[in-house]
Amino acid sequence: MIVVDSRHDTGAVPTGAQRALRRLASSPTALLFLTLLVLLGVLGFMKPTFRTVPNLLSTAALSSTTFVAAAGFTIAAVTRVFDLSVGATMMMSGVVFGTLYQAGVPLPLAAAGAVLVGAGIGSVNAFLVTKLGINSIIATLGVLFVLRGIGLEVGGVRSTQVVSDAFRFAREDFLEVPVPVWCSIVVVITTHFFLAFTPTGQRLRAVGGNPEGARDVALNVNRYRTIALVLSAVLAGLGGVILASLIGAIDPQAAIGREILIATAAFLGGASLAGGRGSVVGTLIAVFLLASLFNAFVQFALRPEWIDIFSGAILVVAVAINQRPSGGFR
Amino acid sequence: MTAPASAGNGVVRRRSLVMAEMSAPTRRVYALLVCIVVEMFVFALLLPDFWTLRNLLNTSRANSVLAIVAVGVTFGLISGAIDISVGSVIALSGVVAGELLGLGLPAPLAALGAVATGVLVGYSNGFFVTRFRVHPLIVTLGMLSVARGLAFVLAGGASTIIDDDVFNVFQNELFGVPLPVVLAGVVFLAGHYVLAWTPFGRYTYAVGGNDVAARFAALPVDRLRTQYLVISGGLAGLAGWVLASTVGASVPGAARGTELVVITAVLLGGVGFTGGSGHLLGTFLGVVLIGTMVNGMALYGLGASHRLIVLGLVLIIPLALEARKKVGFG
Repeated sequence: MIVVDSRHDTGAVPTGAQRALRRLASSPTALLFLTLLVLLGVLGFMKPTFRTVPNLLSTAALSSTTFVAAAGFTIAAVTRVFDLSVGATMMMSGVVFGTLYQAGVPLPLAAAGAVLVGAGIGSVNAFLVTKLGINSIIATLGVLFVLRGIGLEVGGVRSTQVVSDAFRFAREDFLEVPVPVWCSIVVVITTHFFLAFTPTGQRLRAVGGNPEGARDVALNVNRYRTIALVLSAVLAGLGGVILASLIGAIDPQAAIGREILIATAAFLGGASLAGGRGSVVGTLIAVFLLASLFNAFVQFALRPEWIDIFSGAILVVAVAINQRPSGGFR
Repeated sequence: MTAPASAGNGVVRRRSLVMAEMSAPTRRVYALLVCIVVEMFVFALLLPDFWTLRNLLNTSRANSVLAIVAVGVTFGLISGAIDISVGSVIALSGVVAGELLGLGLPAPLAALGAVATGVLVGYSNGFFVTRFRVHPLIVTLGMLSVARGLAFVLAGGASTIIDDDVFNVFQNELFGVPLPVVLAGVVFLAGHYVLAWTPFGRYTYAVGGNDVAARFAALPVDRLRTQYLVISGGLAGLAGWVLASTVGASVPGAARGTELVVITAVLLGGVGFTGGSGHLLGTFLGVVLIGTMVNGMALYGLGASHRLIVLGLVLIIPLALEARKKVGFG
């Protein structure tokens, strides 16, 4: 299920092992992919239950909601806007999805409505950032608070079961592969194509990497920031729908703190606070890497708090390695 | 005190001459004062118990941890380094102190251990920021996870009652004023003196406002950045002792999310998100405004949901109002 970024494919430049190695070392995605392979190899060697296909597939299925939202976060980060409200948006769209479905709205319409709510939240974020000129981190942090407050007010702390096989479509398999994994595959292909090969995607990169320069060549910077923030929230909304379906309930406490995990994955995958960098494929590998790590903690029966320690340390070390070439924070 | 930095940005719509002559942080101070007076007035009307000495002292005691941490975060943020690890550091240093007491060490050493823990965390934050050029937001985001995980691992996942009168000194009062409030006052005054009147303090504005110029002026920018982050971590460690001491227990899950409230208060007080502007008087008023609001809302019977919504709006609205002025001219 992992798609290797062809631009970083070291096999494409067969001009000596040294050069290939250097290219490999300067490509965050390839490095990350190698790390993932080593990790999977070691874990699979130490624990035979780990390397079974069902275990890998269930790891992928459970982490797919994080990935779908993280793909949106990555698109925004490439554009140098940062959407901390993704976790709360997931919760919100999940609640809307379940509520609509229980009210008798057909499943596809309920899902569409939920994603539309995501688009609405993204528009609010975009308004705050582009029209009012508020730093995106602060603006989306504020929106995060407000959404969590609304969720708590409307739904309380208890989740409501939605007993319906149709609603729990994300628990089904399609061609032996869980539905959420298919969603991840579709999302990674479309978003990667969008970022790498469409004019809009390339302009997002330009706006993120050098806003002044983009303005100089008459790009409407705020328009692309709006696109990025709306896309981010739409994908978070989609992730929320899948999450609600996986949980099989309306849960106003869903995805609390998920924004931290999502941001960790995006930065681990090569995104930068300076914008202009980042790859959806890298984010996908990072999400799977973190998920395998958590899975390993469960398999080895380690205390769950070690997950916090490891993911925090990985984030800092990975960013330190990733941004060596460009210099980073002064 | 004189307001630094943003004075150069003195384009202000001519509403009144008096307002026009003020710099942005000074205007912010007056705006905050008006807000606090209005807030107190509203709460006094709504709640008969609000305007009693006991409630005011309780409010101050409940917010002294927030106040102490806010001083450190202000140092960091003015120097351009946002520190979001403080909530976890509070918990970790409280746990360390509890463990030291458990080993049979005397209370003063345990308290010192709490502060030292904070200093150590602050130093490692600074180390990664200055040596590996990782953005402070990412370093402290990683530290947020690492410190929280360490707190749980050290504590073995459970809270421990601390039954030591010397360590629990902050349960006492001095002339009727709770000791945490006294300490918060001392920290604020000392912090204000350092920030406003010593070269070391003034350098925060140089480092945060324009680090290139600061380097040309032969300031040891990296060392200063680390030192400001050490102040931030050290004060969080001190706050960890205060919290563990007032609660009478070391709680690994303590102060979750405190970093967000602290940053809201500091930004509300007029410290710029990108560094180089703001002062501790503003931070103080921000803490008072938010602390009073949280307390008043709780007394009025409003729950966590409303608190979250109000917190989010309080974070966004002042920035929106301020930004409108800029947009109007741009």
